Amino acid sequence: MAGNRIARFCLFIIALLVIGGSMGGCWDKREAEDMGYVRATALNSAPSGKVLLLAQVPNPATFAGGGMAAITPGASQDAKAYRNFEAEGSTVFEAIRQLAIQAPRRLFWAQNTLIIFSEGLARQGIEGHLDFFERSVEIRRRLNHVLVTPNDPRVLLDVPAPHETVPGGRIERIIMQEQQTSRFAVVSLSAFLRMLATEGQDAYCGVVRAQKNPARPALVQQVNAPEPALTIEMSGAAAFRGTRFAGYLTERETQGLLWARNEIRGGPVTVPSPSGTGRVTLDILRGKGRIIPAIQDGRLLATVEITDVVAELVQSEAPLDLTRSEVLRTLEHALAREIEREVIAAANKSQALGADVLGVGAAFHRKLPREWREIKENWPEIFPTVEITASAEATIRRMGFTLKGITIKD
Amino acid sequence: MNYAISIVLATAILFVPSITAEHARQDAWLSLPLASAFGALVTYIAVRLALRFPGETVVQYTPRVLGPVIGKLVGFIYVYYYLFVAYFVQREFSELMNAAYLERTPMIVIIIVLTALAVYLLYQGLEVLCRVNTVVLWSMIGAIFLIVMFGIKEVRLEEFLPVLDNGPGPVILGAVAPGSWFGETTVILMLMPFILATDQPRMVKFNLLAVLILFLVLQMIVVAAVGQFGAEQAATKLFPTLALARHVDIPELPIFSRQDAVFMVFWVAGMLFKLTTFFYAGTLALAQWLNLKDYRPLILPLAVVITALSFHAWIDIAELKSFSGEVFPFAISFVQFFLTGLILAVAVFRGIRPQPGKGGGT
Amino acid sequence: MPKRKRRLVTRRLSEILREAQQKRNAAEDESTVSADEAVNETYHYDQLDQMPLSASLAQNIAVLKRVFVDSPGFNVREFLIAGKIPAAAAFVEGMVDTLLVSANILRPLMHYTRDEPVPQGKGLLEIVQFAGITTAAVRTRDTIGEIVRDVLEGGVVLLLDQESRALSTEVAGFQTRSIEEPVSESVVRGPREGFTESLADGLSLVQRRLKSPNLAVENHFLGRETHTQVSVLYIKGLVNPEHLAELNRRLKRISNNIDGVLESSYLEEMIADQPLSPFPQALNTERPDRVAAALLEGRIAILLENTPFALVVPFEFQALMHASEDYYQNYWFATAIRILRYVSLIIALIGPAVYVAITTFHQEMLPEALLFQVVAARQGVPFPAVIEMLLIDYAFELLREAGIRLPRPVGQAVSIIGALVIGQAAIQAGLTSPLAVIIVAITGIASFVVPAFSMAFTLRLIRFPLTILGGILGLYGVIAGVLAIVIHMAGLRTLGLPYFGGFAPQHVSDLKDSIVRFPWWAMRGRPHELSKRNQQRQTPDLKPRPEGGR
Repeated sequence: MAGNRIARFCLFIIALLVIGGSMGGCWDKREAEDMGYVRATALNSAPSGKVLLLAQVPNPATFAGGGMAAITPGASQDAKAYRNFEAEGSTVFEAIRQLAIQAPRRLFWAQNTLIIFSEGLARQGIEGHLDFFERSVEIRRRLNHVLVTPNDPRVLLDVPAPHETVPGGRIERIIMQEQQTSRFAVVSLSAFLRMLATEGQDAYCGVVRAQKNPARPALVQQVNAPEPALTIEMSGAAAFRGTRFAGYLTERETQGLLWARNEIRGGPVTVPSPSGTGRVTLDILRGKGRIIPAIQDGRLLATVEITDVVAELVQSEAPLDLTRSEVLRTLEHALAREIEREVIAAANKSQALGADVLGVGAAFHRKLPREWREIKENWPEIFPTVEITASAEATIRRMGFTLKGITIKD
Repeated sequence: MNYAISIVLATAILFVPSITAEHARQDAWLSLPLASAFGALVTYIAVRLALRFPGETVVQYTPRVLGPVIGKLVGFIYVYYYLFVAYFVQREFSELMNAAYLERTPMIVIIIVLTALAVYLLYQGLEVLCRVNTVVLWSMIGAIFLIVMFGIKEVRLEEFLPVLDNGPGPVILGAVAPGSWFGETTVILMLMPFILATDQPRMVKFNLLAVLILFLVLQMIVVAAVGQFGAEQAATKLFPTLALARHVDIPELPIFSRQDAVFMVFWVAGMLFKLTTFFYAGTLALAQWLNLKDYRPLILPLAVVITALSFHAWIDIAELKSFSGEVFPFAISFVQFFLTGLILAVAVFRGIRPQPGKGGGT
Repeated sequence: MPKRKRRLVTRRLSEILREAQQKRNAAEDESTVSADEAVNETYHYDQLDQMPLSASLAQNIAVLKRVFVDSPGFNVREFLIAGKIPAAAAFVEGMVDTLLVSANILRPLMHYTRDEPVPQGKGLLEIVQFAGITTAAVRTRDTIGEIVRDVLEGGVVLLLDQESRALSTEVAGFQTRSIEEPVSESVVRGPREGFTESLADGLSLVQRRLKSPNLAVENHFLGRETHTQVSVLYIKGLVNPEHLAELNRRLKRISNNIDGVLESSYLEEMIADQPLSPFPQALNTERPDRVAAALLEGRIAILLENTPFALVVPFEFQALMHASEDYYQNYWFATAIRILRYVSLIIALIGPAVYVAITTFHQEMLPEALLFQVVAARQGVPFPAVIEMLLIDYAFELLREAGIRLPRPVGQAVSIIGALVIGQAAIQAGLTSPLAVIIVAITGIASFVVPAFSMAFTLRLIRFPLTILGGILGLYGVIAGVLAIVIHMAGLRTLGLPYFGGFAPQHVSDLKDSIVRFPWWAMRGRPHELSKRNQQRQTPDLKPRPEGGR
């Protein structure tokens, strides 16, 4: 039937295309081993308004598992695990293309997990640079974290370490431990962008530093495997006013911020012991935070409500008898008060910086939209005048394996 | 019934969330019920009209209803409408492919591959089309469901507040585009003769059910997009659903984190299906309009024509996007709603009935 | 007086023999064809069927001798019935059981004694048939063609003088294989009988399972020179008459238009709905239980002689993924295994293609650790991923084919060990990466999971173009290829039944036996598209439950 013949003809066309395509060179083909997979990207300011781009590219050959390292020809065991490529350009993309001069492989950003801005660059405003990342097809928004560093990115991304061969990977792993501590902010690119776009919310992101390594002995005795001089730390948060860096939040303030933003995942809180001497440390398991706006007599009020806090008692310096319920209640109160203090600390800092990272404005927008419409124009000025209070409730649900702690004979 | 769902779903998925969000921002989720109500109305009119002349297609009976001259003209408008949607789909699809996956591949190659598949499918006949669709459709909905589910952790309900911040106006504006997508079910006008006579009376129910399912699926997507990205971002993204798929991240199972290409499977299938359906409708319509006995000889030449059209009709994706938000909905609503309603009204008014011997399906 | 009688008899006998000899010579002289020419004559059944038997015994014998002049083993045994009446038995020595011939035909006839004298001419046939030979089945024949067939089928034809009919009876005694477990489909639990080359055995195997008077058979004889007996089996009342009619039509189309039908695959190719498709369009099986199950669903089975492979038509695609064991094991397990099969099907089909597509176009899909393994593995390999994969895949196929052709113990060793060793050597030579070898190995194993062997071939075939597509357009190419295949399959029909009959249009009850297998008490209906009537297999209430009690 004619139809069948023409159908076959179509397949013939497809076949032609196939053959033609493979002969003419397929357009999007990239051989996996010809590419360099960027792990971490850092941006720093460069003279004459340019931007300095640092791309950390791990060397796959050193990751070869099993017997492959012995079999693969050309893999040298002493090869460095990564290389940092640096280039300058007037925009991020130009810098990337500049890298092509040095990098033997085509650089690919799909595996990138960190976007690090130097503090200097962040102060100038990162809007333009962010645009590149937002638009990029290769960058994965949810898997990339935004960070600010006070150090020179060159130094930061070159800190050696025994376990994690690639500094970028190390930072990434620290981030993944966020559950153990709430001392630093973890903000993905998509979250960062969303905060930028939200009315009444200023953005913040995590901070990474290279510090002197306390584990390094003063005199370097062993030559084989000395402790490196520097170590990498994530601590605190960086607040932005708009797209400009405004200032740092300390670890305590960051914890308060996370409470308010409902992003707390865990972490220790230390409170004075109800027995009078010593302190008690509790591990937070979870908690919820909300901001409740209100307008009273022409004044703007915001209450940060922290609820559903569940904590576990992990250490007490002085003996505690938890069989008495009032001891537990006192502890819970102390915990709640401490949380409130942390939140107020964060609120004060954010007001001092003029960066509404807690999202007070957004709370107004949601709950009192009409009023918000009036004040939103002047929000940067109005925000520091808002009275922010905190109110927290906590429960201590677990205390490990013992009620009383160590018993010491008198 | 499965048909009606797939048709609209394929295209609507790609663009709708951002178009709607543009107008209605965080109230986009409210626009959708409005849109589907409109869509249900359009569908109902179309199905009733089609049922009135069960053995014929719209091109065949329109001349009788509206008079030979006007009828032929309207018939041709329908022909163009179907082909128009077809090449719109072609362009839309290849823009997505180009942007996200195959950057350097010339667009024409992408389109040709898809079109060749469509032509092959067409040559097999309508029945095969239905079978393939059945196999593919539910997996596609399943995939969408998965995308939404995996992203549900990131959905922040506060993104939807405050409700009706800007009043109801934007909500209605945001409903226009999706409303027209729903109306694409009017392709039923061409397909009615091929539906089994036993199934025909239930077509009203089926089609409305399709609208309902469509609504649910689209609603899921809109909610997910706005909830995860925030209203502003959802509005500015070019391909929000793709962004949703890429956003899937399960920390415990890192292997699933970057699998958006997997969803490509279902998109390609869905687009193919929509393309084929409208292409089929258009080809058949043209053949009947020209009073040809068989539509098959037209397939290949028309394929070439619409491929060329898809290539040249819009300069770039920006134009395509604004077109799909501002021009396209009105254009197709004109045909779907206005013309179809007109034909029905006139037919009822003039009491025109199907010719004897033409009732029932093949 | 015995002496005198014997002499009388002998004289009469020798006279008879002399007369017969004369007649025969006369008949031979009459024949116009010389010996040389007779050698080159070929015969066709159309022509032979037109020639009636003559009433003259000598004539018939002469004709037979001419037809079978060079045939191996052909023999005409002349004898006297009851010592008086000339007759002849024609048979092929290698095909008949000579003991049966002598015991059931020759002896009773030659030693026939009855009170009444044996008539010559009229009435003789009836006496021979009903009171003479003692074989189980006897038929009367009229034409040369029929008796030639019977002789070639392993029967014995009795020719009588002054009788234009002949008697034919079956005494086939050729060697056949004993019934053993089918090689290509073995099960852990279930019957271990398989068809053999003997059609009679095969039919009996089926009949043992379907002891119903509704089991019907229609015989065709296909092939000009092979005259292969083809039995079409079905169950009356269950089968769809349209399917049956269509099948018969197609078989008739073949009948004598082909030289020979040696195996069921010949039939498979010639009755296909879509002859150009690489997909199997008839199910082949060596297992009678599978045939019986299919018949119970309303399908049609075709059994041939000289091959243990029977065909089942029509069928849907999902039957290619079913093994008879699914029905004999626990249904949960069966369901899990079926899902495994479908997954294997996908792997076997697009495994290499996806590997190529991802490593060449979509590296972002791989998590870092895996990606680095790939990159590290591919260091130093001189070919692009596509070529590498095609080469390895092809090498694997080479090994597989070689393994089949070698004698059995050696063959197994070559395939498996050869693959490992050669793969390892290739990796060390830097020709390929370990990952590619693993992918190909997994793909190969996955393709073995598919129960229908003919489907496995299709998979192996299609895999290569898909890999190429993957290398050209990445995942899009693979998807386009897969879609093209799906479209093709959606348009396939076997005997008019659509390939995707189980999946679309959706009849939920059909799905009970597709990817999953519902327990027997739940499978109430027969597949919908198959037979539009007689849907119920069993009464609805068969789920086991404790007896209702207080």
